[in-house]
Amino acid sequence: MPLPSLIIIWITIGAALVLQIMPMPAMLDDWRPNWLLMTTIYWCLALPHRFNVGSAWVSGLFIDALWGTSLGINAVAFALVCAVIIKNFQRIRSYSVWHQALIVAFISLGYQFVSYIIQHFLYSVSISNNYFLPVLTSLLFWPWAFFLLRKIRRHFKVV
Amino acid sequence: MKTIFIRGLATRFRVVFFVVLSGILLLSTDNMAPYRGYFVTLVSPLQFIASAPMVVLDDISEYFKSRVSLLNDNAMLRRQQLNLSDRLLKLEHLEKENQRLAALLGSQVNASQKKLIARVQMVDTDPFKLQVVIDKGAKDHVFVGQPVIDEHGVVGQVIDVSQFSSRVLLIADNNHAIPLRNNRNDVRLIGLGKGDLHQLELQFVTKNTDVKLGDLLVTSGLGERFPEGYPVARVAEIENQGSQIYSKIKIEPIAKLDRLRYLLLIWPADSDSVNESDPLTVSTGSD
Repeated sequence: MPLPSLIIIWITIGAALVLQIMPMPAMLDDWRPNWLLMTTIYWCLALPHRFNVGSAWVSGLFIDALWGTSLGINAVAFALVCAVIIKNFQRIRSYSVWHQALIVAFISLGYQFVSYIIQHFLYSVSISNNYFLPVLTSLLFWPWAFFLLRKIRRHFKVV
Repeated sequence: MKTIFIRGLATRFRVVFFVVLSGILLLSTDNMAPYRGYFVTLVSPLQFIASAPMVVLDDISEYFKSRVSLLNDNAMLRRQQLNLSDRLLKLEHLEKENQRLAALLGSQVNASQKKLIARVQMVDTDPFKLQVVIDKGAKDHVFVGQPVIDEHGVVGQVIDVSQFSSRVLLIADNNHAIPLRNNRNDVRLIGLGKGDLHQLELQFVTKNTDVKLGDLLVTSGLGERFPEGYPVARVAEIENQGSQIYSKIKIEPIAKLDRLRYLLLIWPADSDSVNESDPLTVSTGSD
């Protein structure tokens, strides 16, 4: 049944979007893990025939709209990240969860870098010291995000 | 598991397609602006969900405020109101006098403006942009380019309007510049945002320009976006280097940009009359 599984996937994406824009104390704000990126990476790994470059692009478009970035910046970064995962999903799937976390960290680094480069060329923004902190927290939070999403996938039999 | 290999188009083609699509979106950002509003309206429920816990916590803490602190607040506000109403009486008198003088000079008279209080929605935004989301949108007739102030001074302008919320670009953002006037001697200046909430910069001020530490800078109204005379910043630091033609001047915004809660949206007094008025008469009025 294709419809319910798609609905479950997009509900998790919606939850990730909410976590992404949720207000946090200023001290922790820079440390916010990239929830949406972790969720898209998970679905690209688990169900590449359901969640592909296009879906990642749409998720990026949502975060563009919510953050107030020009439409397309995060979208293209998400699409590129997803393409890297899709190219290697069979290999990454077989790794242990901490090994995956390391790969997620590298991919998240790439994502931050791409979105920075685009905005640097378009609006000549400059980088702050804390810009890459989410990479670190994404690494630490990946195993939990992974197990939670896997539980959701198995419970609702998303295929 | 369904399949080992993904069916459909090769990943390479999909990536190229979506990269090109994003490129088109980015290049047509200005043309797309009206449609963007619809899209943001579509996702704005997520904003309300995300800020809901904070709003609830806020309301609960208001509800359980102790009697003593309420009484204290009340007394303080009463004192403040007395103080302000005294100043308001004087201001009304001055305003009338000013209008009479302006009428004598033949320049346009600024009528009082429409205002609306907006609450800052506590949602996170793009790390590269200094902006806040407010809870008033197209349904309250907010428009792009509208000036926004708080109780201290100018905060920024509206850059993006959706049905129920809109986005305010702060004056300290990298992409923001605001025409200013030195309150002491009417020298015209431009305040440029540097991406730092506590500091702006004055650009292209020659060394012999009369700017002193502590000078109050107010909006000049020359950009026809911000109304004239609202306080914006104070001069915080002046640096003169021997070999440079221009001095480096840093200014400190008066509005507390890092702790915004309630903002004031301003509508131009009468947008038609501004367009019709003769530019020459306006310039003689400001001399």
